[in-house]
Amino acid sequence: MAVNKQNMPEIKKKRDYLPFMVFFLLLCGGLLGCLSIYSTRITEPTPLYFALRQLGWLGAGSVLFVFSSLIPFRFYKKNVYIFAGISALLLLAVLLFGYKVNGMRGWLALPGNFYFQPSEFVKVFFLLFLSVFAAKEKKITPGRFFIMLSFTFFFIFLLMKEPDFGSATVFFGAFLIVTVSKEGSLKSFLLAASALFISGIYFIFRHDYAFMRLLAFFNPDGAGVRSWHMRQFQYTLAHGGWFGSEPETTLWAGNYLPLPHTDSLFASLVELTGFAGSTLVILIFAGLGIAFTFTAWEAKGRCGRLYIFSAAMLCFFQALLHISVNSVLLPATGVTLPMLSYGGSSLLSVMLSFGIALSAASENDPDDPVAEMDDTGNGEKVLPDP
Amino acid sequence: MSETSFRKRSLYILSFLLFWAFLASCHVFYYSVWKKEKYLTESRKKGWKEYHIPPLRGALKDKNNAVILQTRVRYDLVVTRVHSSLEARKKRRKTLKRLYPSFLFEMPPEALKKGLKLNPEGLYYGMTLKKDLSADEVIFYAEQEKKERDFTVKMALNREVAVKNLPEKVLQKLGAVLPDENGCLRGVSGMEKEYELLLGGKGGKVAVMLDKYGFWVTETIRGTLPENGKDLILPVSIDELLQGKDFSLPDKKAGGKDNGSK
Repeated sequence: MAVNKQNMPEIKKKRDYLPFMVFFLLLCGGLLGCLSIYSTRITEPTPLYFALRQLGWLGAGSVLFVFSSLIPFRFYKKNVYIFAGISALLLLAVLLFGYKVNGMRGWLALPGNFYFQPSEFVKVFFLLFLSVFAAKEKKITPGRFFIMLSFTFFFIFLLMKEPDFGSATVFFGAFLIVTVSKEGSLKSFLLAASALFISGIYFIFRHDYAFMRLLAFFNPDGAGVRSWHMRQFQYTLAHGGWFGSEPETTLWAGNYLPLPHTDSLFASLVELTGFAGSTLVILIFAGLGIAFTFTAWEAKGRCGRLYIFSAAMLCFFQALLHISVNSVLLPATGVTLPMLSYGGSSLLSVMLSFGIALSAASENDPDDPVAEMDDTGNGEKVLPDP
Repeated sequence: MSETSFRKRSLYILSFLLFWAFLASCHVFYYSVWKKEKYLTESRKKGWKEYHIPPLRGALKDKNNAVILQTRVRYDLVVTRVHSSLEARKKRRKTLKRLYPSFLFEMPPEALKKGLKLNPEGLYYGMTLKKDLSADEVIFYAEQEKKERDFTVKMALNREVAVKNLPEKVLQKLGAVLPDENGCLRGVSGMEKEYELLLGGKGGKVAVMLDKYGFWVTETIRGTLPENGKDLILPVSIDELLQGKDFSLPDKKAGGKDNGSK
């Protein structure tokens, strides 16, 4: 294997900076989240309660981030089927013994008044499984594609039973990101999209609330009280202005938005920090996406490369889903904003996901090479023999 | 998967997400900056409520500073709904005992003439259950009203005349008052009207944000206190008024004196 050695020091330098940059961006997001959570509870008797808990989760997440990035990516690849099995069991367990919050049976009760949301962690291992499985061959064969699709639909089916429409959308997003970036055929892709469309229609007609949300989105003036949530998002954003309100006067989100510290966090943040703050949050996610795309290009392992890119894109995708719902660009789906929304499971899973991505970035597995470079000196890479 | 193909595909996905992010950012800009005023005005209309605080009206006093006539607002507990079924009446009897254990039934004379009995089952629409509630009672009953809509706190006028046998001519000269739409008492005839600026005072306002359940967000209360009306001192004594002595006040703003009440 010949490598263009002229580029090596620069690549190494970039990789040295990467963990710090990623950690810095995640920390900025986490702290902004704590501030927004505090602002949504300003009129409550204990306004700091959720913000301090989230700060604690941020500390625990930082430890998990460092720890998971130090474990060699080989370990994750080797045990991916065990992780996938445990994930499926966890989703089954939540259906049987789960704790119901806001009409969704999505939490498992732990000792010490803690609740654990398995779907957040399952998302990480689901993506890892898809990346490892898809990277085994040069192109995704139709057979492999349908195994991946069946696996995805099995997980989505379990999530819909909770029912967690938001997470199901994110899981399908993960499937699309992996298959599109790994050369799935157009025919298979269209088939998957049709399956999603039919499933979506079925779900919407089975659940009145989903149908009403859709109606309210397309016709807010004719939907009456059903468009209430949408209106509150508009009013909350309007309270933000360019640079936001004073913390003492950010009252609209806390008093009118549904779940202002989780599902409506972005709108709460806009009320507090205005358009400037919202741009900063979008830039943080875009920055993570761009940084990890370049890192994926430079990664040595095929599987690691796919995981790095997919993990960053999935986080960006989920963030955009949340932001779009909160800015009335999409109908309500009930997705949290990664890193910023309140919730230990959500925050820890994001940290774990990026920790594994960093581990993949530093991987140098000879059994899983991306490509071999020629020694012509122009730095162009050539494909290895299949 | 070739390196070039992966780069190309990853760039497509990244570009798509970046475009989406740009679109979302434009939407945020639209609501938070571009159409800010429109949505702020709409939200204020729905989320804020303004209340008027009526000022205390000044009294008409004689030259010895004794009150001749004072009109003020009082608040009564009034029946708003009468149940015809026995079951509903029994239920209300229990509610009355629970909510208002100590109130007195004050039957108005016309009700007594009709021979209505002083018991909860003899209630009729508009009947006053308790007159002249204190401030604490108004708050208490207003809270109860949210649960039991059979009763309400209603504003009424209390016209206190020092001497009951004041001649009709004198009463006409002193004048009458009526509440306006904000609950402020306004003179409509006689001296009450003539010296309105002095007696009426200036109403206050309080604005408060309501939460989604309609409760006050107390941190947001803001407003102005009312300026109470001043007393008007007449150049005659009550005895002289009873004797029918005529009088006049040269200056409409003269004779004002702070009534000291808050």
